[in-house]
Amino acid sequence: MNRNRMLALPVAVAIALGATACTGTSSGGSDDPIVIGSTLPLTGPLQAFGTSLQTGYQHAVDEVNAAGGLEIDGQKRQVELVVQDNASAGDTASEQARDLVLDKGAVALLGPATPPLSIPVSVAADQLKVPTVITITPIQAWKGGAPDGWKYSFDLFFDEIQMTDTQFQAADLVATNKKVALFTDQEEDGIVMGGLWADKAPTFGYQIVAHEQFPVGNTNFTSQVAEAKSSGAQVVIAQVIPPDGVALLREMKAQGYQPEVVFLEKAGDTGGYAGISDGLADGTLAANWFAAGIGTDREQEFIDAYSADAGGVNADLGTIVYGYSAAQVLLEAISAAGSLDADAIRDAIAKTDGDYPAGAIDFDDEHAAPLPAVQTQWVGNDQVLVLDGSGDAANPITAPVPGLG
Amino acid sequence: MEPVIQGILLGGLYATTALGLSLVFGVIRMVNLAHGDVLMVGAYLTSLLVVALGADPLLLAIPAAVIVGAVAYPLQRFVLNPLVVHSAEAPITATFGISVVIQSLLLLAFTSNPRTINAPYSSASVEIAGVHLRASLLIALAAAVVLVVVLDALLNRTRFGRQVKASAIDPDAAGLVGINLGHTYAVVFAIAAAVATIGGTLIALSFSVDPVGGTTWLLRAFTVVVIGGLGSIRGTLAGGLIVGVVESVGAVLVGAQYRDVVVFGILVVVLLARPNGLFTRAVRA
Repeated sequence: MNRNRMLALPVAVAIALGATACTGTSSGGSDDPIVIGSTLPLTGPLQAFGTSLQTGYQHAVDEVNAAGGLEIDGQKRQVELVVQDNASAGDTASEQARDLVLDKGAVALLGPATPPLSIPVSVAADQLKVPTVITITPIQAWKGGAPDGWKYSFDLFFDEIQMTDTQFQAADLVATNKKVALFTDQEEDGIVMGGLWADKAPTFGYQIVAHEQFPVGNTNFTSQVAEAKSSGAQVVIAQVIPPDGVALLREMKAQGYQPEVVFLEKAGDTGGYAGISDGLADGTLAANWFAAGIGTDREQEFIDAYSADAGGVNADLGTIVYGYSAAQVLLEAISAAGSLDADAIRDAIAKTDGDYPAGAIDFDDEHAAPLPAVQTQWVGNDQVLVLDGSGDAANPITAPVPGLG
Repeated sequence: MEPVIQGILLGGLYATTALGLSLVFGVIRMVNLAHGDVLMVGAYLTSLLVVALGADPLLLAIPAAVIVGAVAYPLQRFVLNPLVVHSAEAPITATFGISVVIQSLLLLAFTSNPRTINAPYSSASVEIAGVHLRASLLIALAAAVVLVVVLDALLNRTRFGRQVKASAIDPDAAGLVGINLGHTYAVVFAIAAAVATIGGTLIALSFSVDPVGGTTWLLRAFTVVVIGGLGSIRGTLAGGLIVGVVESVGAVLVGAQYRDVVVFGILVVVLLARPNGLFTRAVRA
């Protein structure tokens, strides 16, 4: 290797590092907008979450900019939300989180929804030491991604342990024989939820008389539905993806199986679910995070603004509300920090304690802010509140499930 | 006995969804990785026609099949045919690319939410001797039998069928005697796409479809085709019934959570014992 070539390598490295440093501080100039990054599932199976979160995030950013921006080091600066589409893939979300910070100059990140996407982003955020606020990600699953605890990531959503109480609390509002048939798929949450429901049923005075497990993408529910029907279960709790939920309901209808209550978790939280299955889902229940009458801050304002876009007062609208709240928490923390220092922003997020459209947010020592899951029943295009966050009855439950009649 | 009956009904649907894949492989020797996505396209197109025209979905599946077939013809003739003569790998790669494009377009057009086609018979059942038989699956089984009979007659009793078989057995010799291979392949691909449209419609009538759902059905179709005999039309019906029964009986005997283990385990066993499928020699159309 001659002398010129020997010199060329360190010079190239220095230039590259310099270029990275320049592009990585685009939020650092006093006139530049403050960049907030978000990698979202705008396409792919989780698209509904991604588009709703983007709407909520942008709403919060627009409000801050309309008020003049955030005051950093004594100067008001506008905020720019930079979004990339991860196509519902965790590895892409991880790459994009790094790109948003290192190349786009994001000083903080907003999360992508669900553990398979949120955990890779949280890992990247901790490695890069970038404050990140996650939502639409059940807390126990998210915590499981970092046994030693997250350092720069925060999650605001419901806790699965509380959520798996709500099915039994809601079932108590209807006269049943307290016999339960569980239908759980073999995705991680299906296994976890199935175990929680099986463990908790006796505590609430319920008996699991059938526990049907099946791979994701199941179409043939014939034998499982027949077994559940013959077991006499008047309560069905299912943890299934939307297509499998349709197949399950169609098989129940075909076999003339009309339980008193059917909880269709995960599948039932797709915005337009009631319209998917020819009315079969009408009257099914699902744990939820937002509904008319939930009593949170600015509830009616968001219903008026977004129920038409969401196709009703449903989980998609709830995701917009949670996206707005997550972004609001982050923007307030940047404002409270008064600088773009990552540690200062992180410490300000940790001190969050207030009422937001998603509910009362107060992070614990593990960076989680558990918000109460509620139970809702599909009525037309709306998910109607039937059990509030305290476990008390709200609107009456229509039973047996009308769609299966 | 009930799981066997339910399995036969499900097997009819599996056969219908696999026929197009079998036909293309048998004649063109091309593995169409976009086959599952063609099923989805067919279902979405039929559902659009149902919304627009309000007629029965089974009736509207016919014009949908014609439309999809009409699009498939030039795709095979001008895009895939040049690759087929180039190498065995090139068309596989191309159909994978087509699969990605179709999925992306469906996502953009219809979002990721599942979609169903609804008809009075989509959730109805017929009770015979205490056994609930889903009407939509009965229709799927009937459709499978009809399609196999029609395709069998087309391949064995028409001049075009003889051209197709000649093209499948020895393309070079077929070309020498004046058979237009490019046109023949394209027509076969169009017929396969049309049949897939009917299969997709039956999926949406019985269960649901979504933009990326074709991959799951492609795997099932591969299993059916391999078990039934690569390229064998009648074998595809037999393969579908076998997969349906194995899946249904297996769910009862060892649990539905082991469905894929059982079905794909059978596939491996068949491949080891009869690499060309169970029915290739006996019933090849």
